[in-house]
Amino acid sequence: MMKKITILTILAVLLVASVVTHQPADARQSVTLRLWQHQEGPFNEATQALIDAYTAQHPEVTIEVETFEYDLYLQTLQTSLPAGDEADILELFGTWVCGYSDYLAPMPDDLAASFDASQFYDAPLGGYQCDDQVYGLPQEFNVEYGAVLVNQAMFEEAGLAFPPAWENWDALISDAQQLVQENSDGQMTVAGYHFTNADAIVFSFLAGILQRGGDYWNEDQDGFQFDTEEGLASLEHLVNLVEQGVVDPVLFNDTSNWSGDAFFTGQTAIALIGPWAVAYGLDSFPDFGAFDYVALPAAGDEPIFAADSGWGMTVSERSDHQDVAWDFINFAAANADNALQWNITTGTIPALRALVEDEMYRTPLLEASPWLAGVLDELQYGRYVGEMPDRDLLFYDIIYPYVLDTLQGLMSAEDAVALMDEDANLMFED
Amino acid sequence: MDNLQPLILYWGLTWAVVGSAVTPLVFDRRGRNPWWGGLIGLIVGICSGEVFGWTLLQIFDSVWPAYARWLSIFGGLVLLLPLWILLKPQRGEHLRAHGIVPGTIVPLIFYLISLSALPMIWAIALAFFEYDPAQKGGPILGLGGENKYVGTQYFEEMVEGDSRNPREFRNSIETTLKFTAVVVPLNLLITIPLASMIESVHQRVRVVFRSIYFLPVVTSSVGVAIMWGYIFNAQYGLANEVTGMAGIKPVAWLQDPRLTIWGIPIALFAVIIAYLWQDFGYNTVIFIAALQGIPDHLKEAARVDGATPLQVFWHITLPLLRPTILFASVFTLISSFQVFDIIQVMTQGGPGRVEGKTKVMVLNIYENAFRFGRMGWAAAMSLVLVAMMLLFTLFQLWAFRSDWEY
Repeated sequence: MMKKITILTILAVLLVASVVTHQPADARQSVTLRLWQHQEGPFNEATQALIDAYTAQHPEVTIEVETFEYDLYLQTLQTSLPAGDEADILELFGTWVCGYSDYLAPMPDDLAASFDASQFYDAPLGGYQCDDQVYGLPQEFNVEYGAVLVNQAMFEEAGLAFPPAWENWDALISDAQQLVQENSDGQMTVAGYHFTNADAIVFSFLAGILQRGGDYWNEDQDGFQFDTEEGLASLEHLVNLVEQGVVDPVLFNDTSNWSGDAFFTGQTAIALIGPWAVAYGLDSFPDFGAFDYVALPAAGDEPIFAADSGWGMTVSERSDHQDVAWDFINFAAANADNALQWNITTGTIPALRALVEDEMYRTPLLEASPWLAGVLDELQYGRYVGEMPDRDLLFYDIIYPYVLDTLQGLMSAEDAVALMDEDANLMFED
Repeated sequence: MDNLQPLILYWGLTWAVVGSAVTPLVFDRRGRNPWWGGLIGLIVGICSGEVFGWTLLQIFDSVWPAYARWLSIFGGLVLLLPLWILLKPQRGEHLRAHGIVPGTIVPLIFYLISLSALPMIWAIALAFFEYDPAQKGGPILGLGGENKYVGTQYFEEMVEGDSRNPREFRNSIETTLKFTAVVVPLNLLITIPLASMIESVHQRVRVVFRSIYFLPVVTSSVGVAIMWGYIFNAQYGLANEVTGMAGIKPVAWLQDPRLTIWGIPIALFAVIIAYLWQDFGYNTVIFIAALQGIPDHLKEAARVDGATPLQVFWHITLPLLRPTILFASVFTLISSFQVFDIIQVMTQGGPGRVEGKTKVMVLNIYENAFRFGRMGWAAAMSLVLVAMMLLFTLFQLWAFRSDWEY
């Protein structure tokens, strides 16, 4: 029996060896790339269109898309990148990129030699630049502050001018107060101005600091400073909005009547949310009536706001086909025609300057997404939010909770900025 | 060929189990020690599964790519089949029927070690490192490097620290204890009398009641949470409609952090109601079974002595249910310490974002581990949770101990 087992083992080893040494001739020619993306209808549709266009030009390339529900995508990235089983092309949000840059392939030299960074807005590209290297290209300019969605029917019903052009915050508060609706028990059923979901609170607070001449970064850019005169003033401004009765932060926040849903279900007349929510809203509520996207008043001379980069694409350092993957990214994000189609389908704001500044692209963009007219001219005031140790931690576990608790009357504004300062700076400790 | 890690796991796990389950039977048939068969089958199964799984994948990927991954699963048979066929009988072929024991135990032990014990050891190790999977760690399991060793720092912070993480941790312990302190006694107070009542009705009706009360247990927790979320909706919920009939002003059950009853946030009560609704059917069925096991002659003797139904229940039934109460309370306590899904869907730990009024320990652990990548801190909290469950369980075992049988 031992003889038979020995013969079988030898045969098995020979089989393995033959497979190891055998490489199919056509394997070197065809390239299959995997692309990971978060699940969101218009985003997935727009990316697939780009893939179809690219593979039509490059028939030897196949790009397989795998999508993940947002929370699952975060976890998958956290575990897969260190484990090394990530896809070749990764859709990442700009502010995550530097955190993962150890696992990402920087722009190849040949592409970098001809790359013109000024073709992109600074804010979105800023997220993809780490240590003087470019680790991906943005496809959108994520704007969470600067303009608001306004419901035409509600404005007209309240006898207010539409679209509104608020000269200052008092004008906005006045309109919002008239738009509020309550039931017979005094509960707010329609908010006048809903700014109390997580992103809206965070970016309102940060913009408030910048517009008052302050900064949330310290001078060396290696720590945060929220416990400042401007930080306190920014928070007190938000508290004042609640005290003026434009929104009930207990009933309207990120977990209850989230502003994206609240706006498209008629539970708020004015919603502070990025224009990306329009594609989502019209997808979920196709019969929603007329609306517009109008600029917010500024607290200072200029409507400066912090911007959070935006979605874009990166390449895994472990990809066997980095050159092809980068070529696809360049095709998708830096080619104006392709980028335009992607922005139109997703309803997002372009990261490429040409699409906003060149009438040839601006016209079709505004024809497809007319509500963007209110925000395109504000993009020049966008400032990259900065490279943070953990953006989600700062935004959703520090700023949002403290500000919301303050708005709900659980703590004072002074305590909130002091605690925010303390907790946020712990991120920089070794 | 990318992303082989899931396949590598499938190849290994599948053939480890098949090898260690079948080989003992073959060894037993050939008069050999089946425990050695279990061990050899395990090793050969893993090796064959991995090596020939990969080999078959390479072969079929070039000729039949759509089915290559499925066919690669058969790699384990390449060495296992010859082993089973060619194994020489030692003392003549005869079935001793002893192979079934190692054939079932060895795969289970393998699974227990690989899917329970190893992750537990890993979690214990992580509790002493500032581990974030997104960071580049050292060469051994990613520990060290940027994932630096911090010793007992996390445990010291839990006790003495006044920064956000320790504050949240202490708050989540307090919330978990409040949740458990209400859930365990309420569950028993509902289920024991309910089981007695169901047990007292005709058998056909009993089956109907038992099914009805058990239905929420087999319902998806997320579905239950969504349903109760609607019931407790501040603006349109049924709860406010009902309390409104009694002249009570509507409240934001799940959103208002300022509302409390006896120091317990009203949102926590709302979550407890949803949790109890889903959970009490399980204990009810257990108590019905226990009640059926109490000999009738004991109750009959009490009745003959003139005991009222309440006295029979209090002095005969309840004491005899003690072992079952112990079982039910231990399991209810453990499951209430582990509550997560209902809270995640209904409140996400709020209201009150800084000190979430319903942010229990598992939710805190989940957020730290999977949302913010603080795996080390989350692992340290998990160890504390396990220690707490162990302590409370030991206390229950002591408090409800009994040294008799019937």
